[in-house]
Amino acid sequence: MQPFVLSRPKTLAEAAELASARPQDSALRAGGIDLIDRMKEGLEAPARLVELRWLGEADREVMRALGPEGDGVQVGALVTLAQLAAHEGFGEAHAALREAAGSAATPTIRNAATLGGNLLQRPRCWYFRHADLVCLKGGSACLAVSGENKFHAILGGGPSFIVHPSTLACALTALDARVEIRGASPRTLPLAELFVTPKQDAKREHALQPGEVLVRAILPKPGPEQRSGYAAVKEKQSHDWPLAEAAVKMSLQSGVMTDVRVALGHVAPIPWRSREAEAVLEGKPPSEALFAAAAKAALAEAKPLRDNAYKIPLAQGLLREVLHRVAGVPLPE
Amino acid sequence: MPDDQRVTLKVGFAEQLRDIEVQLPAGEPKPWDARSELKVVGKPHPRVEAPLKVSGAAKYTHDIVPPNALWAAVLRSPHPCAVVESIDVAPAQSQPGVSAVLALVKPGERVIFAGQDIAAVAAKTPEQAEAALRAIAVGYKTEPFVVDTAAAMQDGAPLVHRGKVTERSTEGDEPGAGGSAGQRGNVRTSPSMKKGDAKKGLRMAKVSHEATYTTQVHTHSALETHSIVVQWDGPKQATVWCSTQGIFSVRDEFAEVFELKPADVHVHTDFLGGGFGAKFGASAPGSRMGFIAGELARKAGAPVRLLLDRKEEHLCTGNRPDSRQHVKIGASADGKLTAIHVVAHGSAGIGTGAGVGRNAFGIYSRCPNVLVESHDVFTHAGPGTAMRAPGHPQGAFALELAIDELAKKLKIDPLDLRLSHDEHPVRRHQFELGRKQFGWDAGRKQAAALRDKQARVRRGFGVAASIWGDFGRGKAVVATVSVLRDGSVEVKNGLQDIGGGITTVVAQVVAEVLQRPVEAVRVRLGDSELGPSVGSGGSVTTASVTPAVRAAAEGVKTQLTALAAKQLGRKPEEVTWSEGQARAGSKSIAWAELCKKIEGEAVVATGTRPETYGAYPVKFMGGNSYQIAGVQFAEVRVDTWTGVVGVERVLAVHDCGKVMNPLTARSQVQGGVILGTSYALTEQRVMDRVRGVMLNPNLETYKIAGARDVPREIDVVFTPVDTGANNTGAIGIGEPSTIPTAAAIACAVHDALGVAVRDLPLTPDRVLAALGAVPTRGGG
Amino acid sequence: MSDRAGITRRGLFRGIGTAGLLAGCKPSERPPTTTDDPGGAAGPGAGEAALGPGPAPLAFTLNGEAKTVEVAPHVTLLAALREQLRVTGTKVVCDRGACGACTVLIDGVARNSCMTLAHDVAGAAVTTVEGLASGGKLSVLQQAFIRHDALQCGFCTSGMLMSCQGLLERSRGQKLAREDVEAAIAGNLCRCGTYPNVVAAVLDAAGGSA
Repeated sequence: MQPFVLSRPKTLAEAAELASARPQDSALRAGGIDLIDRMKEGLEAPARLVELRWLGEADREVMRALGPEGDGVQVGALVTLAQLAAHEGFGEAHAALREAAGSAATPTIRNAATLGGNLLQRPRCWYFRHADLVCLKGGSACLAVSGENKFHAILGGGPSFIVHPSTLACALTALDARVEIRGASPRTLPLAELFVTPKQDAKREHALQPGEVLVRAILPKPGPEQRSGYAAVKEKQSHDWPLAEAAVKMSLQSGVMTDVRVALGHVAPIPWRSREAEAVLEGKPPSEALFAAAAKAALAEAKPLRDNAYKIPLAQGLLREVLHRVAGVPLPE
Repeated sequence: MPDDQRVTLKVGFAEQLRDIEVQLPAGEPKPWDARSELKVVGKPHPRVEAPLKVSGAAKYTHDIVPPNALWAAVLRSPHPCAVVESIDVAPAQSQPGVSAVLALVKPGERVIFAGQDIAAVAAKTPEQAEAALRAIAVGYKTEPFVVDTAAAMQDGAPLVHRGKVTERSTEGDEPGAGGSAGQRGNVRTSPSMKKGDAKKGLRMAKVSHEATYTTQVHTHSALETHSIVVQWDGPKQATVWCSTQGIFSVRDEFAEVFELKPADVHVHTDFLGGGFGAKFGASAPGSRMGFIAGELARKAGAPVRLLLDRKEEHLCTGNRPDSRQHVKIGASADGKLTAIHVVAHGSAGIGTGAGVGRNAFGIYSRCPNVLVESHDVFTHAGPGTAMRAPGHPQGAFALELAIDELAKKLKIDPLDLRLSHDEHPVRRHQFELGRKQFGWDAGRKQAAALRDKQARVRRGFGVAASIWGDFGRGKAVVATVSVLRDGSVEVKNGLQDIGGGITTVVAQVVAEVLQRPVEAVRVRLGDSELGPSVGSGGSVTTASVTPAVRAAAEGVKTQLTALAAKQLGRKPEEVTWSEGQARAGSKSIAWAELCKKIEGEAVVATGTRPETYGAYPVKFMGGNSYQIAGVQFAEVRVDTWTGVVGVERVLAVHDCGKVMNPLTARSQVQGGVILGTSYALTEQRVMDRVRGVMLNPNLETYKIAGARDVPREIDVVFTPVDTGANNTGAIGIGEPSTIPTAAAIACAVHDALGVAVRDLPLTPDRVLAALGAVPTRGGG
Repeated sequence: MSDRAGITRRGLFRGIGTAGLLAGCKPSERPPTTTDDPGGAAGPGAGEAALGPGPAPLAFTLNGEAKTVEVAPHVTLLAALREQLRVTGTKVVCDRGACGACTVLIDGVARNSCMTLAHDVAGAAVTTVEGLASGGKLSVLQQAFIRHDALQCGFCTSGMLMSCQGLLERSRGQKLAREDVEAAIAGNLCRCGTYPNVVAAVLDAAGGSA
């Protein structure tokens, strides 16, 4: 890593000012896992890191919050994945978030990595991460198209075919989360609006402007009898990036599924909400056949590259498993 | 003492023991055999150096920092093939903290893989060294390249080498492997292995099977990267610390490069963080590390540390080559193999050595017609090198899976098919033992039932065999054992402990002979001045070193016996030893008392190991070494919805001669199984075929098995064999234990699915494709 | 249990600046996995407003001993330990948080020292493998590693031990299952293949079934 200045502002306002003064040359740092990784790879060399973990009491409180907020639940941006994974306050309604957090990265990384950093991390695409190559993120072509694209997008791809790396984003999408942004124009927006599709702007993955800080995620009041779940398929079971992820939320009352949300991860450049699958499931009693139909619908629009068509059956199988588990329908042998 | 001695040894295994006569050279102790009752050797003993390793006190090459040492860094080619048009290292020289700069290529030179040495610097800190590398200006003219093995075989593919190719051989190579029978384009043909007439045998076959099997490039990924620290002690004398499997190979290469006397190069390897075949010599297979560190240190006038980073480790320090094996196998209608024909192509990048081992040729020896033809295919990628049982895991995978596919056509149990063609009595014993212990017959039925009802989660059972030779080396090791007046015992040899546990075994052997506690034996290794020794490659260490150590210990014991006889007023032949006391008649003298009588400081003896003098019951490939036997059984669980394979159980039944230390031997076999599982399921070097660079030179997307990726149960069973090979009865286990694992797992997946996945690693995409679940492009 | 195991409790709950964040949890209900947050724990005013780019003073506790060093902000904790303080038991393997060889405890919590800046541990207590033994006596965990042969070449061992120590510290009093150990070492790679023996050693040290 190249030398830099480490700033430790006491207020969010100061942090925002430091980060926006020379936006190309500064970076906000929470857990710093992805940032340090990119700096070590030589992808970035900011002259100033602006620390979010040394803020004063008032700002720290919101950014470290984890618990009830009104009828819902808030999760501060500085809450670590380890905290989320161990948080028993979530219950069945928000189990997807707990499960996702516990599935990501390694135990030691989870002890440092934060919700904010997880949502805003850069892609893991091996072309983006290769110091000797220039991909669409900094150049003119997505190298995955002609290259090795086994781990790339099958939905929503083009012109970039990255998959969004955030595991929490998949779960939070299913849980209808909103995120609060502070900075020049403070706002709270649905999570989906945080993310940028490659068609909108292939150079970036999120909509934050320099100096804007994501301070927390807010989960709405759970529906009646709400339950949720998350799972991932990985090549390696100890520590790996997923081949695909699925998160599901539903209310299950009188044998009928309502308010169903289905999200897939690591299949698209953004966390992928499947309204097609939701439409198949909504208002119906759970069954093996219905889940198979929902899984089929979720991947109906998939457009695989040379090496990743396997993600279609894989994501279907995964989604079926999660639906069975969340709805309490035994899996076939 | 007579010049030669003829002795009778009880050799064999299990219930099959017999007496044989062997001729021993003068002075050689009578070998431990099946009659020997040993008290220390053969009993589990924790590693004697473990306290240093669990407390952080063990010093590895990474941890060595001579005073004023500088940090070296190497600039590497980003291009797979390019001609260097210009190189200017001068700007680096004036960077802060920089003491020495070295250009490693000249204008006009061609670089032929991404990662090749270009220039190097030595600076005070790693950051300064990195900054200095950025200041070096290199002009390249890029040229066409090929990194894909199949593409490199085509006519008109860009040529990797434009002249004669020289082999780089190390102590990690399998003895007898190598050589060339001609070259055309990027394809260099190796000598073939031939028995009978395979083509005719295939024509005679009533049932046959033919398919292509592929395996991936596997990197050694030892946790300690290649590293070397050089300190010049004078213009012609140097001290070198190196993370190496072969201390003397480092000494000799360093001496040759800098035109020094080998004795003036003092090499230390107190501890090394793994090697797996890639760490021989002062340099790495794809980087002139010894020259770089030595030359920078000479220019800078200060010691230099050159520690590769993880990316460099993947790019230029060796790998297990890939393979494409076209297998034809035939049998009579009643299941007698008529022929095995393997045509193998593999790429060791710019290097050689992409053969597929002795499996097809040597294991199912009742097959009368065998032909194994193999070829190295050059590609613009970092060179391969020996990796734990070079060639064999690849060969095992293709052969064993082909046998299972043929057995299915023949409607014969694949284990029965193996048993009816394997003539090695120990391996046959192992197959039978495993069949019962693993629950093979019931397991296969269970798998078939799940398959028949198209269950979501399947089970599968597979088995595969191991073949390796006892390559224990004679006349290579000189060990020294000393007993001091204070009663302490010391053993010295210039050997390195790669992690197999040789330090402990050496202590056990001395403890056994001298009847001292293991803890009382001080073992000094890891230093080229402690006496000649072998490299830790080819699974030779224990078999080569322990006989020399025993001979030295026996030499000391003879002297102590004479001393005791003198003290007790008896003849030496009247003296017996028990529990560390010398006795003669009714008199005895305790160890401590006896040692006080030593004249001078110590009683010292050296010992060597003669050439292997026996190889009972089966010889390896016609030589005079025993053919080491092993079999592994695997049970897998396959989720047909997601394609994920999990290994539930592996039963590893192995022979390693006389087991010296069951605790560490078991760990080594377990390690072989885990390496093999990782190779079977997740590891794969990924090259970008368009841009010619490695895409996963890290430990995140290069996927080494973690704690949850290994078999849920690993049972290790040893079937001890007394082979009469040497005076301790030790033979190797490091390599044989990893040979059959991936093959057994692949066979088990075949059993689970009813279709074979013919490409390693067995990742979900391939499992789903084998199940027919993946839409073909355009059809989905 | 933890006393029996001879495990240091040094700094175990020092990260408790975060406890107040676990809203709705009484202290006794605190989840077994604590978070770390050395910077947060030190609180406002503990550090300068800006450090670097050159060396700046850093004070922390290393294996129970107060340390003050001058270190530049871009230097990782791993580099500071190895290259500056010459405490070399902690190993560099991947240098990207993917292998766990550099694991240390920061205020009792297992962390990758390669992805941690040295200045992150200002005011915190760092424990490395060198800090596991006390008074020259190996801890029960270290002894169990030796007994179960949970090491071969030894290069992953320091990090493996620290991940396991972190598990023992946060689970004290609870019975451990094999899965707990496998989960705790899921980020520690071993190339020699010692995992089953590591699991056995930790279960033994924790007083569970081995």
